[in-house]
Amino acid sequence: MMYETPITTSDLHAWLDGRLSEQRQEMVEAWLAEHPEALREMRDYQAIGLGLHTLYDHKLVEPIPDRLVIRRSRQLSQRVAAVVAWIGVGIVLHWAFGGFNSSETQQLVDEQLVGPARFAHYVYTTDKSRPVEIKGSDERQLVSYLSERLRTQLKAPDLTARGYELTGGRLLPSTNRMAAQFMYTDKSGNRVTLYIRRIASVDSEAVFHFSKHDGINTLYWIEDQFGYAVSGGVEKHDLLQIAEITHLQFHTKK
Amino acid sequence: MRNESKIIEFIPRLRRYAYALYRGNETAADDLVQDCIERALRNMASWQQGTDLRAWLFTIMHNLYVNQIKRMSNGPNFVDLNDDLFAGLQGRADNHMLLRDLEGALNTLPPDQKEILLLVTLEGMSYREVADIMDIPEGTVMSRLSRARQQIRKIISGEVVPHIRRVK
Repeated sequence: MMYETPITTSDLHAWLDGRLSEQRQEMVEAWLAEHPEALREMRDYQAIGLGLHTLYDHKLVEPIPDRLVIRRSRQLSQRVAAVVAWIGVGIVLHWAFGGFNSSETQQLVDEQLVGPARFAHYVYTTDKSRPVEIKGSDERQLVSYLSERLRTQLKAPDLTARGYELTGGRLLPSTNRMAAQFMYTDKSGNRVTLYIRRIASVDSEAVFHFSKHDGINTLYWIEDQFGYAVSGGVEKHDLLQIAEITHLQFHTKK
Repeated sequence: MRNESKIIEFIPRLRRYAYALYRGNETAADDLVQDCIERALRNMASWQQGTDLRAWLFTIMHNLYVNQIKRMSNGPNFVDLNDDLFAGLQGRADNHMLLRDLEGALNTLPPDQKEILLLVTLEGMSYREVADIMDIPEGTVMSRLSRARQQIRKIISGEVVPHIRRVK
């Protein structure tokens, strides 16, 4: 096969980091298909990236230590000291209760994202005969169908690094929009779901919110007019790693 | 006030980054974050509304880190060696051992390569963003990123024995 421009090391890393144009990405993938050694190298780099997340992502949910915000705050001006104190309170509240600062926003997000995501998780992960509408083995069909219905480019995140395989997914009615649900299962049969829907009225933030209800943990966030919710019966720490991988894979798709 | 409160959202990310840079030394990591937050609060006026706050905060963090490295580089900087470092990347049954290998390998990297790898991998930043934060050309970011990944892979797969790096 001929390539218009040769594939460089930079191309390979940019491919890995999701930084190539669609056209170039296809070229690199075609090239990799013919170069198994390079593909193996890229897979190792992927494993390194996910390993770094595994090593360090727990810092994202850890409570902020007091001494970080208090120790030297006396030296600062009063106004700054007030901000520093507020930071301490903000973080504690944030992770202790896991909500938005505005109760109006919180209510909207609960109604449109967290509640429906949790319920959909409950309904379908407990369904023995038909947990998914389209199976994970038809991933391409599943993703293109859901993308078309939600009018955006979706993807089913690769969670194999966390031991989860894609079981499949389905289209769901949410409160006032359509939603997509992807379901994953690990070797022990634990299931997690990713629920995605459009939420136009809430600003993006780089924060994961946490909610626990009826034994189901949910980590959720808002980004570029979409709400994402990862739910499961697994530990918060495990869920965070899944959420972080998901966030990363969506975030770096452009 | 509202601008300043936005910094809060990034504290967990800054802590993760600092913790990774300081190889899990909590105290050193949080000292760096604290310096970063204080400097950010003092200089909030110089942050341009509408520009990327995360990039601005990580730029402050980078500058503080570089200064610290310079201060420390008077003495030799030895990398811990342990036997786990020499086992293969693939087919390892014990995941914890592999992660220890990875952390060990990460810490053989020169500081700039380590920063680039962490910003790209953990923060998902574009090469352009990393280049701006570190004030180096984008091409340099890409070549150093490639070198960083190669080195970690070689060490973990046991292809090379990690050498003890000395900072001159």
